Amino acid sequence: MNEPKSEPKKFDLGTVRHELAGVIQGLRTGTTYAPDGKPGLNPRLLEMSLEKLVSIMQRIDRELNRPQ
Amino acid sequence: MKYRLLVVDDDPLSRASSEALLRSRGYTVDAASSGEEAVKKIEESPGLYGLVLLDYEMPGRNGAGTAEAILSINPNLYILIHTGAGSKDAIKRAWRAGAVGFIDKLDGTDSFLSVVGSWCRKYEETYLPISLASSLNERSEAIASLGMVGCSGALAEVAAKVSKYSRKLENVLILGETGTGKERVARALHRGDAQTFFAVNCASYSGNSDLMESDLFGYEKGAFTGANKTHTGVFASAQGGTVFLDEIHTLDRKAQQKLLRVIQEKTVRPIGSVKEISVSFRLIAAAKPEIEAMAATDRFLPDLFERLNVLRLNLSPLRERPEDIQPLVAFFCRNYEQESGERKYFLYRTLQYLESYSWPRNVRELENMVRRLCIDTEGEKIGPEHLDAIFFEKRPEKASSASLQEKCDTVMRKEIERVLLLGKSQRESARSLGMPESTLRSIIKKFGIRASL
Repeated sequence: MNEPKSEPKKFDLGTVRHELAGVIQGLRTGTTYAPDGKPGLNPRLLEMSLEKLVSIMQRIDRELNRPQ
Repeated sequence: MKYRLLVVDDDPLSRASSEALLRSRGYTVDAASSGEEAVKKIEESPGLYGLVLLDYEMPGRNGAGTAEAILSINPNLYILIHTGAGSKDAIKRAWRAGAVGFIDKLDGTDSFLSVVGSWCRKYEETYLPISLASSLNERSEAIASLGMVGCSGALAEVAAKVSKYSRKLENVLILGETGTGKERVARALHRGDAQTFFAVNCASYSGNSDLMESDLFGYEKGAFTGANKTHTGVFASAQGGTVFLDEIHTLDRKAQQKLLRVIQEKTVRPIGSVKEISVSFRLIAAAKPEIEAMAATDRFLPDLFERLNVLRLNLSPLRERPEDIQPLVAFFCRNYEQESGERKYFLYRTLQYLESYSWPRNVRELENMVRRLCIDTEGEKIGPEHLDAIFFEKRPEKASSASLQEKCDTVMRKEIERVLLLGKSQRESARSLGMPESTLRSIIKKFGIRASL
């Protein structure tokens, strides 16, 4: 049973754009500054960005497969 | 850095990346995951933050609502909306709520840091001139050396004089209204001295010069009914030490004359004795500021006033140094917390009401009021609704005979002095004031402002 425990959020383009903007910010920072603030990779931010992208993709999939 | 930045964003990724970016540039950053949490943080420490980076799309209180609530607590904060929503409506609403700028989350890191940097510089120039901030710290330390709390120039001046006078032996006259800390200053003057300190409140003699004489001068056994044994008076006991005579203006004429003789001759004759005893002590006297007028109209012995008035310290009333109210309130709240274990704090709006009150009984009155509010108020926050009605009474504004031009000149002069205090060149100062350098020079000359304030 892979059904989500809570009601999935209503798909909203504005919200998706907002979240993608956060991902872009996370990727930019994650590839520019290491955790100590020096130039380099920040694995935590990159991982968080990836997780967020996956979650956005899953919501898009749900919207695409939603019965019309 | 003397202030912090607050990042408010419900998205953990966006919040973490903003924090990482800002920390990489040396900013001190706190974070909140909702508008409610941000408001709580600002309420707890209204003066701690300078800039708030606020996400617009948040569950619960959105960016506009949060900006409004934050600015009602501390209107000096700069709020930047950091949004990924791209909605023009949202931008308009946040603008109306008092946000000063916007950053799109799609913008590059350089652009993000440049916008934040420029608003931080603006905040520093407007509210936190570095030279003033460091001088405030120095002032607070000097004032703390008196055993007092504050950051005002008036109190710092007293602290500097106390440090100078404590090494002298001349008499000191401390003038100040009730509750301004005259005895505290007297003790600070004495502190460097290991000898004895006698504090006497002349008001307790209530015009009875015989009582004063027996207490200060001493008496021999059998000098009067009830004198069962010889008593060494305060003056003779304080050899090499300090005698502090508080409320000296309440002494009656006869007592004033007797005191004058002691100061002039440096001798006392105990009641019932025929022998004069040599005395050597430093005299510190305190009185209400009216004593000078009393001496001028012969209601206080002018000769005695002159003898006392060798070194003088004037303690300003609290209403003339409202900048001391905030540190005093914080100090009294800390004391209350240490005693009771209950944490209390005053909202910024509450402090503003306290700063505009006249405090006729000065610091003592403030201390009593803070304690009363700490005890009476449920919860940690003390807001304007907890204050007595007296704080909301409109006080008549002082009648000003200044013309419109004079008022404009005063405002212009203050603003120019503020900008010059930042230590920039005249060219940079003129640019930030929005006037040609030649105009600034001529205004400096006209008002006689010192260019290197």
